[in-house]
Amino acid sequence: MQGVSTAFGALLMSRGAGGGAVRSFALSCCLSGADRSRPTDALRQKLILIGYATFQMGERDDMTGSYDRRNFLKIGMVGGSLTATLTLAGCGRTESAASRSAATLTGEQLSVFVRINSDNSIVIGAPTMEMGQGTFTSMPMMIAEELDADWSRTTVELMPLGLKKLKPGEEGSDAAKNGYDYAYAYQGAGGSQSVRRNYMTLREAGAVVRSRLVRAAASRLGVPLSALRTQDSYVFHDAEDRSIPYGDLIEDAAALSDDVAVTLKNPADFKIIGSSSPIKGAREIVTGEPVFGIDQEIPGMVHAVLARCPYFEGTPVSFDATAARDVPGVIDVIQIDRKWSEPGGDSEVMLHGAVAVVAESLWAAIKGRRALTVEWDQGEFAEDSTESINAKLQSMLDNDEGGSEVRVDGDVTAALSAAETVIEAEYGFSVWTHACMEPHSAVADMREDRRKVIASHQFPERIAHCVAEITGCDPLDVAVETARLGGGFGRKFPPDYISEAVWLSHELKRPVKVTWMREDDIRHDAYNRGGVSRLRAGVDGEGRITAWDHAIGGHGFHIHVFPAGIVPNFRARNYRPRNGMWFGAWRGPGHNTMGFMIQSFLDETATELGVDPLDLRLQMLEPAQRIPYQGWGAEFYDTGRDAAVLKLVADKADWAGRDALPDGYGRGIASHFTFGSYCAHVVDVKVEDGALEILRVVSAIDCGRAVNRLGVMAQIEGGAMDGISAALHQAIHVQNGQVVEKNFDTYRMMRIDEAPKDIEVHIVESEEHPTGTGELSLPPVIPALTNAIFHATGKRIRNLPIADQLRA
Amino acid sequence: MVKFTINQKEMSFDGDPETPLLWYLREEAGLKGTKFGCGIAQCGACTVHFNGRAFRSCILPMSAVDGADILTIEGLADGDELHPVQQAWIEEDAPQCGYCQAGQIMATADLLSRNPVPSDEDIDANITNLCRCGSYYRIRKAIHRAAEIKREREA
Repeated sequence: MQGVSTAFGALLMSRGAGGGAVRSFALSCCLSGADRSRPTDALRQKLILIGYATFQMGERDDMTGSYDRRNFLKIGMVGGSLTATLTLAGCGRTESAASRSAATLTGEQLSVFVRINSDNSIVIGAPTMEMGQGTFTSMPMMIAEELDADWSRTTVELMPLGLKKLKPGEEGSDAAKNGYDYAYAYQGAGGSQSVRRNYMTLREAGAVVRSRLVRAAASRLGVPLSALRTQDSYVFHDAEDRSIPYGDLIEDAAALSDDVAVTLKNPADFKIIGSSSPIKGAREIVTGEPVFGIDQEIPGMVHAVLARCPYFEGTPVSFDATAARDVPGVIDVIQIDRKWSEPGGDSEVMLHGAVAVVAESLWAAIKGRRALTVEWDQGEFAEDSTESINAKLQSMLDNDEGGSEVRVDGDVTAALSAAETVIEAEYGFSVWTHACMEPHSAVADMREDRRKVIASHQFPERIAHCVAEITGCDPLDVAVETARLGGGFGRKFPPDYISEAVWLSHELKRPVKVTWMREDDIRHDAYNRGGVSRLRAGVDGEGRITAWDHAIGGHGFHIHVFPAGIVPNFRARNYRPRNGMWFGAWRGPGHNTMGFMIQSFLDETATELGVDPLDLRLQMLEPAQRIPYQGWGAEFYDTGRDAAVLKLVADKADWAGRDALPDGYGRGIASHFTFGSYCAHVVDVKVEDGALEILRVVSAIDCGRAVNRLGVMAQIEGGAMDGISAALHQAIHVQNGQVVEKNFDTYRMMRIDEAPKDIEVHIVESEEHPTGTGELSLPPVIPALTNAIFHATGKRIRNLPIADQLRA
Repeated sequence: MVKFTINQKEMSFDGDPETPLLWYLREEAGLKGTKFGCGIAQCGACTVHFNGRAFRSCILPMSAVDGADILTIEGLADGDELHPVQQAWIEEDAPQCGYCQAGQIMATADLLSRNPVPSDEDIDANITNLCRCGSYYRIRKAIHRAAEIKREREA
């Protein structure tokens, strides 16, 4: 059992050496009103401060020595429902800041975590938005587990953004900017970090609320705490066969203090964590409720559709709006000069050079834009083409020009010279676009007494910073509501489409909704980098890989993956020529193509050496070692866990029967470590007359303790499909400084007819701290597929997409 | 003046006849369940039933809607009782981000009305909607499950 004290100032454990970022929080409970509790300002002022907690996130369930805490609990009364909210600590919101934001925001800014209603139904706030990654379900499961809530009667609502001002010297999260940070929980979603970061925090929230309910019941029944147990939103007194629903205890619970120890469950007793829960909110989706960003409106808004400069980094010179203004309903035509910043830089304002048509209706704005004539400054990349970009890359690689050594272990040159066998290959891959099914949109109201934005975005605090920058207001005065995302995949990280709505609303002094057309999306994406890589492996007389040399062209991040740290002489060089394209994070950024190159090249090496591709991998991974991970998103890479998923998938997919497959059939294997989790796939294919059929994907994953098994499986299935789709057809081309593809007629994505009909996911049973699954499945699926194609046909796919290469 | 029904309700429209049905539904009729994905009938997110058959509403001008019966995702359930396809989608936990699913569901409801026991090949040939999350595996299972639910209810 893991003891956690909520006693005032009680220092239970010292901070451990391991663990991730320091995460502090405070917990507040309030009795709040009616069905949808929206504490009024006056009631918020009644909140009573009780204590505060600091918390350092551990990497494992076993939290011994991983944190110290003092709790911070507030209680308020509105009547009707018990509402507990949890905040990142040191909360730092001064009275004036709190009251200022309270004046402009609804009470919901007080981020609801748990609301227990008198009818014993429970509402849990999901701190991060849902974009298909399943956290709208998995994160509330963590609270519900420790609360012993009846999960079937628990509904989930999305928390709005909670920001705070950091105190001088206070450490913030990696999303902290300009002295502001998340107030309640880490609310960004990216890098498969949501579950990993919030696991302990959310469990504690549930445990503290449960503690109050049990103590309230003990007091009412006049029995010791030890005589009570909780289950499915009831407190049971088994000795006298009595039970009380949580909903009957809420007023008593709200009146209690928190100066008692709270104990987190032994994971062996988990009922909800580790179960298989269908997603929350499914009914709203299948009945067409307006839950997505693009469905949102602000009363009185006008619509804007923009003609963005088709040339990389270009901007408008002049425009003729005569015809556009003749379209009934068109209100205004406004030039927006390009203003750019790199994501994560000083500025959160990103404006494409554009001309905006503002109209009373979306259709009028669309027609108005079509009628617009714009003269563009074509910028410095007007001559760019896919051929010129690739030629530049090849020249840099040929001449070893403009590269940088990103990682050097041992002496690669000497080891290659000494090697018995040297294997070389060049791999290339196309540029991919995100193509989230929901085109970008944002609705902003920048009138001085409003400052509100509703949008689908992965990092809502960036919206607040963007507004602050454009309008000059305090980020705490911005109401940011994140709606469900129709896919994110990293594209909803930069704030370009947000900036447009905010800028136009600020300019026009009225609410504005910006809607992107699909052509805008495909031609103005933060693309996944394409590139060319050259790999060399040196093998000694005993068949061991002693040297690994990777010259990465056009790509070059997340390079610290396998076999870095395993092959003693390792070098990764990075060559990245500047071109006009805008690149960003795309599901499994870096990993998505590194996995393809490394795991395909390894397969080639095995073939050259005449050894089984699985055996070669296991020979490199075993005996198990825990290697400090130099990349982002994890602290250690455990080669034993990588080997374990390979062995598990090999067993489940009958790897041993591979050689008995009939002609034209192939079976390929690959694994990859992505943001703390391990995944291996075996893909089976059939290739007949150049026609590829993907018969089956078998997957094994290790994501630590799986919180929602059904959700984890969905991520693995989806990631595999997504990777296969990218590998089969996806390619963005450049001509005359512009992206050639405009829509799904030319940017081909996989439909159900090409998708494998058979997918099996096997989850490693683990006691390790949960890690993410959203991006885990994609990087290894592409090489498992191309390795299977090689096995079936003898043709090595060294360039993506696969397209019609098998027909050649 | 164009007259038609949406979800069995009589409606009329006298705006720009070029307005695509999609934008009328979303922006004027307040029915946001029908989704915009591409505007060129490629992705199927905007699928509705037009006189009983699945149709991609982003390319259908309002001038062509006169006299038509339109069914959208909002009108698919029978009151509180979900349509078998909606029910199957929940049972199979099909949605991930969920954005394409209204279109997938409308396309499937049409398929099942014509073909109560679709084979995998029938699904491949008829369900051509895009999903980037990669929920195809569960969509396929949900289609088969929907056919079962429909048969169970009719039995």
